[in-house]
Amino acid sequence: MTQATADEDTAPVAQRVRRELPTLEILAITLVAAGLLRPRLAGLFDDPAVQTWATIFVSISIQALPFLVLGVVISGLIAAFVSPEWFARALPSRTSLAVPVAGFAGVVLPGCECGSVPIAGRLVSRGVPPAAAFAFLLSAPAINPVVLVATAVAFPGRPDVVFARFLAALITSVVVGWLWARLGKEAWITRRSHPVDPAATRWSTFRASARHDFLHAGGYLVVGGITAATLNVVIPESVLDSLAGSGVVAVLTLSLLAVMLAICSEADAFVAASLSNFSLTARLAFLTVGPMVDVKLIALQAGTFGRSFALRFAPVTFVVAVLTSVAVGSWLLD
Amino acid sequence: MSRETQNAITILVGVAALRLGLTDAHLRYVKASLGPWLVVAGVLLVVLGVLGLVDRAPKPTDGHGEDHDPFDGHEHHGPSIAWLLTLPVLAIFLVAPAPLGSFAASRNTTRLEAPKAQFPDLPAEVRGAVPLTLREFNLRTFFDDEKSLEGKTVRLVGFATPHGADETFLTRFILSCCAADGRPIKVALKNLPGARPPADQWLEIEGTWVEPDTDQQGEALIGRAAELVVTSVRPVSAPSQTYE
Repeated sequence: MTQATADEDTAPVAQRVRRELPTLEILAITLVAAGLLRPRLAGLFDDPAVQTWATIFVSISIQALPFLVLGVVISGLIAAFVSPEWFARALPSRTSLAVPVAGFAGVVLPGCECGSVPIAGRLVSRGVPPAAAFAFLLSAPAINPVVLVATAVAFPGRPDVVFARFLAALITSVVVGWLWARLGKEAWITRRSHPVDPAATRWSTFRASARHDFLHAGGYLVVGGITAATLNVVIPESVLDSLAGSGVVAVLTLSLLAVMLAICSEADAFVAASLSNFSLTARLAFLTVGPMVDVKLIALQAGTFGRSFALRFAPVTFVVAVLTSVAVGSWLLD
Repeated sequence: MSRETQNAITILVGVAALRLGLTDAHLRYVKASLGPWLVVAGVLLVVLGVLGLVDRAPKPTDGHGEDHDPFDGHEHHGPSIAWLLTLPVLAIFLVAPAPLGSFAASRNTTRLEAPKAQFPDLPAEVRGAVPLTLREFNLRTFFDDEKSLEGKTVRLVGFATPHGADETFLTRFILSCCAADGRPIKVALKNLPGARPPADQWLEIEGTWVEPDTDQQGEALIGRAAELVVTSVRPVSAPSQTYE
């Protein structure tokens, strides 16, 4: 299934026309078969490792769902009610200025990272310069008030940590936006959001966009959830403590941990607070990288903008986020 | 994927969210505060799917795949990646994975930040023992200069995590958001009477505090567990909220 989707990235248009599969019947048969095989299916999950894997997989999927729904509702509203001309007027016409404006606009989207990907996809399809949309995509999950308050609660008496997080996320998103404006190629974006039909009513446009974005981003979210749950169960935590400390190794360890754990940005500050055998700079890197690059987000970004985009965007963002965290952390924290 | 199938999957996910959000089942996977949001998300998805099924008139934009050339004239399929959304739905209805238990607890280190404020007074005794969470018992054991637990009998509830040849930890998990960020809190049970309890058995334990041999330095408790000399042990059924 995933293979078929991946192939569409490169397949010529003519080859894409597929035979109509009786998908509704397939779905019904799958559900009935799964119901009948339930005792045997449940038996597969008797092993405690598999059971823990399933618990973490379900919890990542479920935790992300309300945020994903919020994201696709906003994306649908943009598709139905906000014209490309409005964005052209609202954003500075020079991309170099539009990027910081869009990055700062991330303050208004409450929630965590799953919601911002479909919104950024919709912004690009509504004529927002990709560089600006990406700055928004990166900043929104880290600098909105809900996440900053959660960070303040997790680090009581340390407003400098909250400020450092805000600053590092904003700088990273703007730098990555500028890098894209300078070096990025439109051709790397091999996928676009579902086009808006100018003849359809606004209400039906909203519904069609929201449903499509939900099914699409949701499918990729499941890929991310499977990956994160597997890493969570496979990697022994004892590895972590042997790498604790304050040097470069500690920063890289927590940055990579953020990528692998795919923790929601509203909860990551609590995890960071508990990693107290690591330096504050290393923990800042964890808080900066996590909402921007993780296995769940890479899957979502690959689904929304295409694989060749994600393969370039995620590593560049990772490097910029780590360097920014080290700079901001050594200035403000350690 | 046909339009009907897209709507059917949207409804299925919505129903799964409602099923979790409207019952205690979501407490296995996420913080209680997320429950109402699961209901909201579930209602929106069900409405979206039902309207899509009821509205039979073909819309030119409906059913287009994202990666579609808008001119390829193929009306009726959506993103095939959406099939994967059936996996969490099937897991929720058919497997209903258990809350994090002794397997996860034995693989993860205890990590507790030191409290920033003074400890409040201990709660009043109930039936001859002070009821405490495992978190508070650990924090007071290692960080309370007043030694408020000295000479007290406390009552703790958690599940058994066997450790090594004959040790048993009483364990609970703390969630910040969902089970993916769960961290175990452990209490080492000393002089446990009777047979060793099986892994994941829920227990209500009463016992007396043991002063740790070494002081806890720094701002956090990492990889250590408070000790309790057990005076009574009673198997109980798992609470509906298994996390602290």
